[in-house]
Parts: sequence; structure tokens; C-alpha cells
Amino acid sequence: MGAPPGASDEAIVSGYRATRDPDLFRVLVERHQDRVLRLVASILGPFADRDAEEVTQEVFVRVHERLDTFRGESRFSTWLHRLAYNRAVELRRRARLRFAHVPCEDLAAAPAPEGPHEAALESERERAVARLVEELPDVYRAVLHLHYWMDQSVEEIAGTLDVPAGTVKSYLARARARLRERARARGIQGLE
Amino acid sequence: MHDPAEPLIRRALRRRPPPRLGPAFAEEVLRRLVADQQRAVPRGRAAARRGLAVATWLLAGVASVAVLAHVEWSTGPRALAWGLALVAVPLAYSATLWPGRFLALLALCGGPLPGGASEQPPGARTR
Repeated sequence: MGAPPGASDEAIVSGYRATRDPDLFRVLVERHQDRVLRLVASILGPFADRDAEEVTQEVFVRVHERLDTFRGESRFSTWLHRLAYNRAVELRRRARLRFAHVPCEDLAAAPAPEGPHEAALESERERAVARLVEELPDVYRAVLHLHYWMDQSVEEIAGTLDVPAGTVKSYLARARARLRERARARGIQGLE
Repeated sequence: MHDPAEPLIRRALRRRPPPRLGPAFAEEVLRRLVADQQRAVPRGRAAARRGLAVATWLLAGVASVAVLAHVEWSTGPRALAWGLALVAVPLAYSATLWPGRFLALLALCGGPLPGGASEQPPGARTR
């Protein structure tokens, strides 16, 4: 069987509940897998892409377990993203307890790409800012990634985090302010 | 309002290439779901076994109390009987839950008795 082309996620969910046809669930997975992966990867941080794939798989298993609790009060994608976000944040917190923190100075010691002076400087600045983002608290790091890396709108992020859009705007502003403060403290230019 | 820091943050985050999933990802998820469902069946069996153990334990407890309440013994034997019952009830419970360990315990207790496992001097070789 399978889903008719163009069927909404919600229609597929109710179809799957009624028939338990694995092809319907496969459609849901294929539709959302890349976005869920990027969401999870943005929370887990760089160097954890393999973990991100594993967590993405786990998220879909959880979705399957809890599909009967989906009431349709929000869009399926919002519900799915919220579930993925919560799981990834939980894992990141646990991982922080397991793995030693890498000092920022060590990361900064990584060689910069060769090339014309200005380009190398710019590249180094970008790398420094990316490192500063990784040091931010979970929620600020998440909103920055969702907005600037995943191109999610403020409304989409609000759905994922289950907070009002105004709160997301304020998180974004505060995240940028913190970045600016830290950049100033370390002599990184370009964020003023 | 536009923040002048935005372009740099965007460029900084986009340095990281988006991760990619393997082509068989959806297939793997479905396989994992099937495996989880198959694992759920023995879990049901374990719950039934635990239920049986609790029922046995309760039955042994009630029977002990019923017998002991009707026996007219003097204080000494009565205390001994209560003591035995208090040992027998948890043993009955463990025997149903972990029959292997229970048998091992019996074998261990039976070791020092006549006919039980003989103690060997260190270094003795068995054939």
C-alpha cells in the first residue's frame, strides 16, 4: 500500500494507526529524517555526527511508541521536532558528564587554513565564533543553530521548543548578546 | 531589527557541513521496530513469571500463618516453627524467581553434609 502522494503527515499518522501498514510509517520517516538529523546534530554539537544518526533512529522508534499519544493539537512535524529536541538535549547533558571539557585554548590552537591574509583572518574569525556558540547554554546554542544553520523561522522554533514566538526572539537576542560579550572578552572582532 | 552580528554567526555555523544519513536509514528504523516488538514478547513472559512467583509467595505465607495459628505447641517449638516459616517463605519466592540460583544455594548448603562435595587440598588434581 503506502500513502497517496501529497497526503498530509496527520492523514498518514491516522492511516498508520488504523492499518499498521509499515509503508506508511516509512513515508513519515523518509519525509522527516533529514530535518530531525540536523536538529539533533545541532544540539549534540560538531564531532558527534555518528551519534546524531543513532539518536535520530532512536527518535523515530520513540515516535512509533508514542504515536497513539499524538492528539493532533499541533502539526505532526512540530510534535516530532519537540520530541527530537528533548531527547538530544537530554543526551547532550548526559554526555557533558561523561566527557571531559576541551579547553577553548586547545581548540584555538588548531591550524588555520592557508591562503591570503584577509581570507585566513575571516576564516579564523568564523571558526572562533562557531567555538563560542558551542560554549553557550543549551537553549541559546539550540536557537542559534535552528535559526542560522537550519534556517527555521522564529515560529517554527517556537513550536519545536514549545515556547511563544516572543520568547524565541528574546532567546535569539540574548544569545547574540552573550556571543558578543564573550567575543569581546577574547578579542574576537566582527560581532559588534 | 537586523543585528550586524547575524551574517558572521550565519557564516560561522554554516562552515559545518550538514550531516547525511545512509540511504537505508528508513529501512533500518523499520527493522529496529520489528526487533523491538519481538523482544517485547519475552518481556511479557517474564511478567507472567513474576506474577506466578508473587502468587506462590503469598500462598506459602497464608498457608504458614493458617497452620501456625491452629497448632497447639509449647513456646519453644512454636518459635522454631515461626522461624522456619519466615525462612521458607522467602525461599519459596526465590525458588520460583531464580530456580538455578536456588539449586546452587542448596548444593552449597549440602556441601558440608555427609555425601556432599568433598573438600580437596589446594593443588589436588581432578581427572
